[in-house]
Amino acid sequence: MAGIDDLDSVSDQKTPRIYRPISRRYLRYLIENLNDDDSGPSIFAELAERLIHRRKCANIVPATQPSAGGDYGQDGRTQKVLLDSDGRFRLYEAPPVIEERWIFAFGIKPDWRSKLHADAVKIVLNDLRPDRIIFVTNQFINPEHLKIDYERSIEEELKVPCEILDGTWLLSQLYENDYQLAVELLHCPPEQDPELMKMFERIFGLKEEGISEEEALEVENLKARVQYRNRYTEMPEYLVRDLRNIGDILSQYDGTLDEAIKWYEEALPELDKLRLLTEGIELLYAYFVALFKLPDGATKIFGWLPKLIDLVFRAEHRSLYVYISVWLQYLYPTLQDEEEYRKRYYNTLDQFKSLDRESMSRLSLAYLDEVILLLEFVLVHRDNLDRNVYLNRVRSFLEAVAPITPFPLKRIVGMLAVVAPTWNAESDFEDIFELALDLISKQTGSFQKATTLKERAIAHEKAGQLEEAIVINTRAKRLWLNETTSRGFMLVTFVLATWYKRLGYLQAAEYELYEGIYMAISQPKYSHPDLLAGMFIELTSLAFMQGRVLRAYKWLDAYFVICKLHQLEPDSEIVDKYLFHNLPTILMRLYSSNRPLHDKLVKLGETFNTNVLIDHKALFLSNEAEFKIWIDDLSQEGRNVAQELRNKVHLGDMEPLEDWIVYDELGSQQYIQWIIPVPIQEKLEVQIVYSRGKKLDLIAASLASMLQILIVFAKDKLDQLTFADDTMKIVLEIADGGSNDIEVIQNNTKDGFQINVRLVNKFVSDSPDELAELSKSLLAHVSLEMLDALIIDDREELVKIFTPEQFGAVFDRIFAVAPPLVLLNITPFVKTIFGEYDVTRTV
Amino acid sequence: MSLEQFNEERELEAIKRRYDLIPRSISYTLVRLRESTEFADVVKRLRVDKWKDWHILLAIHNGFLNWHIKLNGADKDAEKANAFTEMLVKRLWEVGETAEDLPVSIEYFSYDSMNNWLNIGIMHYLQQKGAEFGSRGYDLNKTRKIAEQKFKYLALDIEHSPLFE
Repeated sequence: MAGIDDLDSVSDQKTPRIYRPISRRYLRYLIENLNDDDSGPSIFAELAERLIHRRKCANIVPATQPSAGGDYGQDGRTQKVLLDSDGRFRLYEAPPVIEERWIFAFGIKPDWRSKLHADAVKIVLNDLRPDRIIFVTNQFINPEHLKIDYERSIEEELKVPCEILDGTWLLSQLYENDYQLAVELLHCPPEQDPELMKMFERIFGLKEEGISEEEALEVENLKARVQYRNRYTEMPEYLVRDLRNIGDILSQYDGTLDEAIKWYEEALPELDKLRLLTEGIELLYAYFVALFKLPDGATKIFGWLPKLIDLVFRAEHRSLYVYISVWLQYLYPTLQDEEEYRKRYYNTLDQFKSLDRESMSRLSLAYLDEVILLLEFVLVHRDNLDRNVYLNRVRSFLEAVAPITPFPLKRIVGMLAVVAPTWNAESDFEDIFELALDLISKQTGSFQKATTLKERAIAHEKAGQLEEAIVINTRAKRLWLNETTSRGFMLVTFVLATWYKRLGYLQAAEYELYEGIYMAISQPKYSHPDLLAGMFIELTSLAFMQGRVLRAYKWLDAYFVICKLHQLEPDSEIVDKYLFHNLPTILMRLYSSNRPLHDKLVKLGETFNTNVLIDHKALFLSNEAEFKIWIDDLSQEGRNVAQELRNKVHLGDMEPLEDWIVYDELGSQQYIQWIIPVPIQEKLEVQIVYSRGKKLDLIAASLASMLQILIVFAKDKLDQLTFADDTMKIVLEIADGGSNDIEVIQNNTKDGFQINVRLVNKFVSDSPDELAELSKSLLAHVSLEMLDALIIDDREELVKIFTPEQFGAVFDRIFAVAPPLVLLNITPFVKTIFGEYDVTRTV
Repeated sequence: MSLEQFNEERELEAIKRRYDLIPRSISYTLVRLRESTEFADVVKRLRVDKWKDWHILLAIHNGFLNWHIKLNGADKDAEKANAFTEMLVKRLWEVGETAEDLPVSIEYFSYDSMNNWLNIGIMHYLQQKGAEFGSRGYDLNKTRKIAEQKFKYLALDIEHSPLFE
């Protein structure tokens, strides 16, 4: 005898679930949102007619056909079809032919009552003598009795039976029987790919296990995106991210966990195609989190762990090192006896220990030492090694990372808290725990302090004291330099950049933005694409202000890459202003004044969008024959205008552009210049001159930004000095050999006075530590020599301030992440723009 | 660290000293210059530039010294030039210019030269105020700006009988 459970099961078999490439919810949205703006009435009329023809009565004739007799409030009616030339009448298994005279009215207005009433009255007054009026609306009438009440009300008033077919009827017909019509008329995705259909079956088979409406819609949107795989061909990162996002939503709920795992697994085959490895790392991390909730998850995680490890090492994002230790340790209780697991654990630890520490910044080293400590913790615990030795290594680590503000202490402090119950008997434990607590509370308290400093900085700015505002805000910036407050950090760098820009210190402004970019890119988990994109645009603007158009367009290119990467819509004003307006205008000027730069810019412009330069190429780069063809379809007046413009551009006879800074980025000699307000002479124009090349380009930009920042920070001191000159030329050179690493000498030449800065080639290495030292030394030497040449005050005090030793403290205070030269060498995007004069894309 | 602070009283005393000493030390040259219409034109232009009588006196004095240094061939050697200048200044201060001294030509005191002599005077003046000049070349118009801005060099004067029209 069958029980209740059995009966349910039989019932399920009788009504198999229907799967479509979109959900009911989405189809309902499409039906409901048909409106007058998108030819809704005609689409809706066709949809209604065809559904009625297929599901209600076979002999409906649209009112627009001559046989229907025109519109008298009716949109269709039943009629005996004698000569049926419309193919659709024979296509389907038809419903019954209705002998009665049914008149159909369609409406898409939210106020369906008024529309129905108006049409019904018109039908009756026009003496169409209907046996029944059938009103079809895209509105979803709830509750059901509203519909029934109104049908009765019409019947009572007009003495004609009335039937309302609302959105629910349409949805049900379309979704269950006539999905093909939804494809045809509402542009729903077709059911073609069996693999995709399987995937959709999964998602629609989900019960809404606690998923909120927003999440369900988000899943819906993501799903709609991922069904078209072609769109991801160039950027598998998008596909991985979209699939992960679906998984992330679903994995929050027990009922959809399995489904989430399947979505993550959809993305796994893409891992080997990724260029942005962090996407793969985040995917695997999220996948592991989901798997970890399953009883047999550990084994599966371990299977994929080598891939995560490989990606983390290859990505070189030190802040993600900890992901490896997290998963090796989570698996420890389950797999500790497995030989393979133990081998993997030791090998990974060895791999971390063998990394080249020389090339790492202090922050990177902190991340590396942290992961080594975390991994070794398990070994100390398991093998019963000397805990005090380990704890003292933790102490050294804490002392070393204490001044590195961006480094988050929470994990190591968390680890100490976890072991406290068993390790607190160790002699050094309490001391070290106190130290950790002290450091983390300073870090947390710093954020409040930063807010106060920011408020003070804004007050200075409002009072017109920009230098003071910058000094104070730089202090706030340092306090926000932490991965958990990265947005605050990025915002403050943005603000500082705009303040430096207002002072005319463009390289200092650029430096602030590099710090923000570095923070955003090196902490991918906390990146803020909106700010990042804004920073690229600000850098574009700063490059334009220097006349460096090639660089400006490279930054713009980076902006579009970021937009694409994060699926942000590029700002239409930026697209119009920089691309569609500026680029062709600039190219017209460069055509005759700097042809090599023009040609490079044309190539670069084409990488954005080939359409931008269609007119430019046709007008100015075509030969005479091509040009004649191009203007052929213009009016005589248009031809004259085009010819005149072509002549002007070819002859270089163009009006100068307003605010156009002429700068030759391809010239053999490059320069950076800026003006400093100084006492007595009122202004000091500093110019750094150097030969074109990547190394000197980086050094010049770094030196300029450091000098500009120093000038702001030392403003009070500079105001007390007596400047005997208003110009300063600094000539940068790289020499292959010499007795000193940096030589800075004053030089009287036939062209005037200058300072020559000679750097020994081998000293300009790529090591962040060496670059930081070089920066410090460079700034100390150049600023001292520069002031020595410029001022006529007593030098003794000056020398005391500007010796490299004395200078160290100031230096560390003003450069939060790293000095400019280091940032320029290590920051993604940034390092590919300086000194690069070809047209290769930024990424 | 910075130069001596501005003290108006002290500056005015120094100006008075210049009015007292310079006319006595180059009396013959001054008489000839005052009689020269050519130099009167130079003075007119200097007045437009806001020169006071003591600036003109100082520039003439410096020009006089320079002319004699060159005349004696001392300008080729810094040490010799210093020694000669010291000796000449001492004589001018104590005895003053004599009828036997070779007269400096009027053309020597052109508008440009006068500016040059004043600028040289300003360099010395600033050194007395604590300035340290390096070995680099300086734009003397900019050092004059320092004297103007910090010590009101072109603005200050005392009451005196006019020396030049």
